[in-house]
Amino acid sequence: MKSLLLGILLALCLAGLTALYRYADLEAADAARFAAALTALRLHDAEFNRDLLRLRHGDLPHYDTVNAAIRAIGTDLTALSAAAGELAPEVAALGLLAQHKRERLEAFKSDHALVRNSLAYTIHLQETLARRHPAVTALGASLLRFLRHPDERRRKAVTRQLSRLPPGGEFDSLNAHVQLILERLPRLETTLGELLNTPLGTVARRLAQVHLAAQTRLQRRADGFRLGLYLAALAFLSYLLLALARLHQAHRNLQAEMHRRLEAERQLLQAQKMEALGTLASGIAHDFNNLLTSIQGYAVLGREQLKAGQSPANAIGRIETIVARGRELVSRLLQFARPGSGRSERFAPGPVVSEALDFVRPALPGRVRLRFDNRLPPERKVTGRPGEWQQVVVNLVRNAADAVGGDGEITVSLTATAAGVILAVSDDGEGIPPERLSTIFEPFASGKPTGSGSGLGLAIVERIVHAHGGRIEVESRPGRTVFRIHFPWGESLQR
Amino acid sequence: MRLFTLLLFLTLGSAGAAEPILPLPEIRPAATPASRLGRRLFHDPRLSGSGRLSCTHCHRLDRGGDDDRPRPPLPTGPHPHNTPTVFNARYNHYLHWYGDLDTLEEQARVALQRDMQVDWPAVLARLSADPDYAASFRRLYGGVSETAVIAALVAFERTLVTPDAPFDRFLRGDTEALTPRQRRGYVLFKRLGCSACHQGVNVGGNLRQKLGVFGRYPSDDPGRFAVTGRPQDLGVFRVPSLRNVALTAPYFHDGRVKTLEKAVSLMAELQLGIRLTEAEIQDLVAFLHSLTGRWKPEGIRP
Repeated sequence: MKSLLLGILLALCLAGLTALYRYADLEAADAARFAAALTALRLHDAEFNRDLLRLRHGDLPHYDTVNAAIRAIGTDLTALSAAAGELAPEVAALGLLAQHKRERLEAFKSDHALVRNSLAYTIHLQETLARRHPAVTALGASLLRFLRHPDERRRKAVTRQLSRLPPGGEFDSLNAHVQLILERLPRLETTLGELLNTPLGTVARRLAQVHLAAQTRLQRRADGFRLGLYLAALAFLSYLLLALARLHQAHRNLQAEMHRRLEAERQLLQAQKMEALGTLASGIAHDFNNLLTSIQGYAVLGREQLKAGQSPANAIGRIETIVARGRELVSRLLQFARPGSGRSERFAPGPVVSEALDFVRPALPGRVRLRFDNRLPPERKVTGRPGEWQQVVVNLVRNAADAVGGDGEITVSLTATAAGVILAVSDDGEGIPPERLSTIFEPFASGKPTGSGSGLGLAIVERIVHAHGGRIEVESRPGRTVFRIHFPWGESLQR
Repeated sequence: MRLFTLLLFLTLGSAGAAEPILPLPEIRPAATPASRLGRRLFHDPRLSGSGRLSCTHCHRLDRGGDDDRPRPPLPTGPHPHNTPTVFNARYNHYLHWYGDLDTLEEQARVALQRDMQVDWPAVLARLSADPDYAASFRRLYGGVSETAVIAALVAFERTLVTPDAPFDRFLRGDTEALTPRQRRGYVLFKRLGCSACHQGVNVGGNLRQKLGVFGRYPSDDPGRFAVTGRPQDLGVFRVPSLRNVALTAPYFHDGRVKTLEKAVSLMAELQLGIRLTEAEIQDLVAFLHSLTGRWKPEGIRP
């Protein structure tokens, strides 16, 4: 329910952001086009007005440029309309002004062409006719005044001069052209005034200001939007960094914890080993006692031989042999007690198991027989930790010894398979009751009376076997119990 | 510094080149797939309602872009006006005798509608049924449509230009391009005031003027009044372009005048209030002949 709500919220956020992004983009593109078209329109209007004045001034002898300018204004208006948005009414107003200019331009061109032509021709006739009649010169002067200020008074003055011209031929022609100028020039001036006073440029400039203001508002909104995005990104980044730091801390804690556990396990292994050693102590002490007794016997023999003047060399030799055996015993004891290095090595299992048996044998009750059946070829080696193998052997044999009571047979065997080595420890004791079989590897599930062990023996065996990548099978009925341990040949071991 | 030089050059340049007529751009538009399609349509009588008239019925590209008749005969009777040339039409500010059409697209649409009695659904179906047409239209315009037909026709018309007239070469500085008589004619053309109306790149085609300022033209055509209904537009026509004028007889909106000489003297009389001498007429006509350009891509003189 909660995750669904979160999902919907996320989807809404995403949709909103996308819409905002697209909308803002569209508006910006439109705004840019609008501004460009408006600028173009103002430039084209300026060009238009300039060329009108050049035409009127007589500097520009054709209408192509004003036509091009008014066409360009039309194109600009089309572009403006397409990008106008809410400024459409203002653009429509511009369009009306442009339309007005376009229409007045036509009137201007028609009158301008005629006036221009008649003026040129009038000047030409002035030159040719002035010699033939004095009224022509006076007409020229009054026409010049009219050209400067085409008002009613000056028009009448020109008309008066016209009436003094003689009739006929080129004088009629002059009359007609001057009449045309009188008629069309004021109109041309009016049209020009209308064209130049049509506030297309002014309105466009005002519209540009309005648009700029709108743009600024838009820009401010975009800035806000960008800031929002920046803050959101910042928050996200902070959260990411925090999460990363936490993850790092957790990793370190985990590593420390793992280290502690490994250490504890090693200590546990060692403690159990020492505990096993403790239970073996009486047997070892007995062995030592035997050795010491023998040494004492040979020492007495040696002294008597000395008294009798014989050489005690033989007795001393026997003592040396016994001491060597004792030293070996101590060495083995130390070897077993030493904490494991934790490093794997290649070794032949036979001697290692045999050594462990030698070690445990003295501690076994007198009538318990211990057999070792090594069926491995001597050159076969496994990868593992020999110290831990020995711990396994010692623990299993001790358990078996307990199981057989004071009298019985324990067989330890090594067999090769394709996958590895099977270490089997079997006894002919009373067996494990079926209801206890499932719990024997649990710590403190010992079937032995309190005080005879820590109850960790089999638990430790299982742990070591698993660390070697092996497994344990137990088979038990009254008269025969077998622990079969499969050790892989193993190139490397995990721990 | 370079900008300043440029400005100086432009200023002097424009002051020096104050000729009323501008040379045609030397650009000869290359044929494009659209213009080739338009060319085919231009010659295709299937565009008309009767199935017998193509654009070339009036605009013959081998006769100066118009026909030699005063007014072309149409199934509905004779056309009210003489045919204006299609050559250089792209450089006109507006089209038709009344100057009431602003673009080539409008002109093509109106000509198809009014003169060729186009039946659009039937034409579009015919063009779609023609595999060649259908493929071209699909490739260029995504399919056959009215707009596409007009666009292709206009694309072709935009290639119909005739640069490199002797007068254009003269304007570009080759004084030998005109004969002495033609040069005299040009001086006269300017001095008499012809160039007041016939100016710009197309020597006209860019303003409207009353026909008959100093006399009455013998015709009942109301001129632009027919379009606007405004009294001041009575007898007002678009000033036609004079480019290739030697090839586009007969003259005026009703094709009333058969020769250039008569047209020139009538213009001087009605528009300028002048009676020209025979020599002046000959000079002017000689000058007008120098306005004949060349339509190169197809190798035909218009």
